[in-house]
Amino acid sequence: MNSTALLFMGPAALLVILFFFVPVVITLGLSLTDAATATGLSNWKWIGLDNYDQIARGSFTMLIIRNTIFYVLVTLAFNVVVGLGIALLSTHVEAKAGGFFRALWLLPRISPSAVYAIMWVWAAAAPPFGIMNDVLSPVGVAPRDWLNTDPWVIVILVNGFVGASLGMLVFTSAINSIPEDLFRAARVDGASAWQIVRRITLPLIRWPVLFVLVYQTMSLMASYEYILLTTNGGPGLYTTEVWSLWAFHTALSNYYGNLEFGLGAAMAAGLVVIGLVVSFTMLRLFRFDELVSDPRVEIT
Amino acid sequence: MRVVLQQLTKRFGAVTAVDALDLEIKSGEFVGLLGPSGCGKTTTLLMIAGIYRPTGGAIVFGDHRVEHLMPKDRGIGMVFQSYALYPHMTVAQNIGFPLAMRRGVAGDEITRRVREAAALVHVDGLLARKPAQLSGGQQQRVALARALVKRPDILLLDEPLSNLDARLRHEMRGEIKRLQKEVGITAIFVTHDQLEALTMADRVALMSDARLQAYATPKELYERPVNQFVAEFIGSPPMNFFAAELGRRNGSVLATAQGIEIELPPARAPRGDGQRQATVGIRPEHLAIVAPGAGHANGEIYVIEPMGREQIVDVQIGERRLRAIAPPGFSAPLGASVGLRAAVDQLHLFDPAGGERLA
Repeated sequence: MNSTALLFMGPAALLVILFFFVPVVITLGLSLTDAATATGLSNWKWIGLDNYDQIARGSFTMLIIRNTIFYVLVTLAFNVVVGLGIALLSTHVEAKAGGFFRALWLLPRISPSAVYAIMWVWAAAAPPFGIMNDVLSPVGVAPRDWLNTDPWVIVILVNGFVGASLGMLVFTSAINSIPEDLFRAARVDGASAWQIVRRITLPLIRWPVLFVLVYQTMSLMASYEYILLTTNGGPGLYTTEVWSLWAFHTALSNYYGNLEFGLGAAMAAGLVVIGLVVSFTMLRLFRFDELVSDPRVEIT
Repeated sequence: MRVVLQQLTKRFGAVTAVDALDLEIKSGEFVGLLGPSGCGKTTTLLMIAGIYRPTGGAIVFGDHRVEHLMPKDRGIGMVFQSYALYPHMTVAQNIGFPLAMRRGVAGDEITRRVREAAALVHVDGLLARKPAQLSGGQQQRVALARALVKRPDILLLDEPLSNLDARLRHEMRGEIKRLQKEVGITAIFVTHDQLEALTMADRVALMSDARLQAYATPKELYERPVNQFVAEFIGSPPMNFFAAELGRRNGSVLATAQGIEIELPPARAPRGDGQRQATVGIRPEHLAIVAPGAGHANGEIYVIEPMGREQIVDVQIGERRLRAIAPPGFSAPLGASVGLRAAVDQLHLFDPAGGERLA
């Protein structure tokens, strides 16, 4: 490492330190205090691990953990399966039609989050309104006030439709980079369409699938904006409240008006630890190191 | 198994890739589809394989039309230009893949037949490797084993040698030819290299611009090309051509051009009197360098390219240049005056208008 290298890395490193590393340290520090609206900026004190203790003993903690696991797993499955499905279908039809179909699926991602979430709230509106009721009642689904009767359906669809487009993009380019001859060879070798997907396509896009799985898991664990904008954790008490939303509510926005910065910071810190554990486990599970090859360019 | 193509046509939008191709391949025959890139030869092969659907015409295997059949139901094995080995599978899994895709082939039978096919092409020592750990020649052999393992009726090869270096290409050329005869399988291969086509094929179908130009044995193609395109494409270094006036003297036909005068033997003269002009073709190996005035033409040495076994000599005659083959011992300074003598019974005459063979 010489001074030139430091100079080149400097700007990026500075940004990371300022906007990522320092906030993490502040959050960790904050999590060891009782800082809240009630204490103000002058009366807070160090309380050690009391916040963590309080979370561990909290009567809603288990419920919120269960909610979070449910939310992450089901949305993840939706994201990856739908993303993969669209990628496979749209790469096996005429190129223009496939491109148009994929462009449609990008709309949720390019619309502003708030607009997108409000569109869902309207679509899920109670009878006699709501596109969902209009579309689903002819196929035998009783019209209902979706946000109150089936809040999880809405939460998962809202996040799933956005998330699927990421998988779709990554998988599409991965599938398109598989040489055409491999598919031709497989057809000559007698593989059916499903066998080609199972035996050729999926093994060859293992790395992009792993990437999307890990990336989406992380981002789903930390995400709460669409839940905030649709059910806001409700209906009722904590029905669709997930960990990150809980931290947000505790520290920055709650009904009682006493914003507990310290407690919220402890929740956020816990999430970081869980996130790290989960991602390392996944990388281990998928044998990430075997997928990474040595660089072709020598760097001295 | 016999393969017959009848009026086989493939259009991509406004482009006609293959135009009304008629071709019959006998059972056990090894046929090369030869032509410059874009002539439709690979499209033809992919239609035979069932990967492209013909726009028109028929493909017959044995006595059955197969245009409507999926590739897997056609009883073909195929080797791709890129070999198309599955990179995530071992050599054994690659070779066994066509069998694993079939219902009712037991595991131990797959193992046995994979070994058998691997031994046939001498890759039985590499079964546990992944394709990335193989050399180009080994990958080629594995691709052959995979194509042959299900004992197909027809073997298709798309530019089988183009990804190999010169040495390996020579080796695999002989290897594939031997294998084809040993297995006795009907085989069709695509190549743009006339040397590959001539050395490997029993018969060569020469295509250009979506059409079949000639279909004959390598010997016939070489010795009696049916038109100027065929004459030009086959042979290395390529045939010399020059425009000549045809006239008569003492009952025989005389071809004359600037600085060249050749009396044609009866067998090489066009029939009838009508033809006044012709494109004369003569292969470099049929032109001998002689003393000035002793041959059919006189000129100066333009350049000499020693090839080891022989030398290619370009001789400037007026404004045109003819290429001749000289023995390794030949030596002359550039610009030296020489004569050229043509082996007159090896001349080819083509119609200057359509390029068809006159005699």
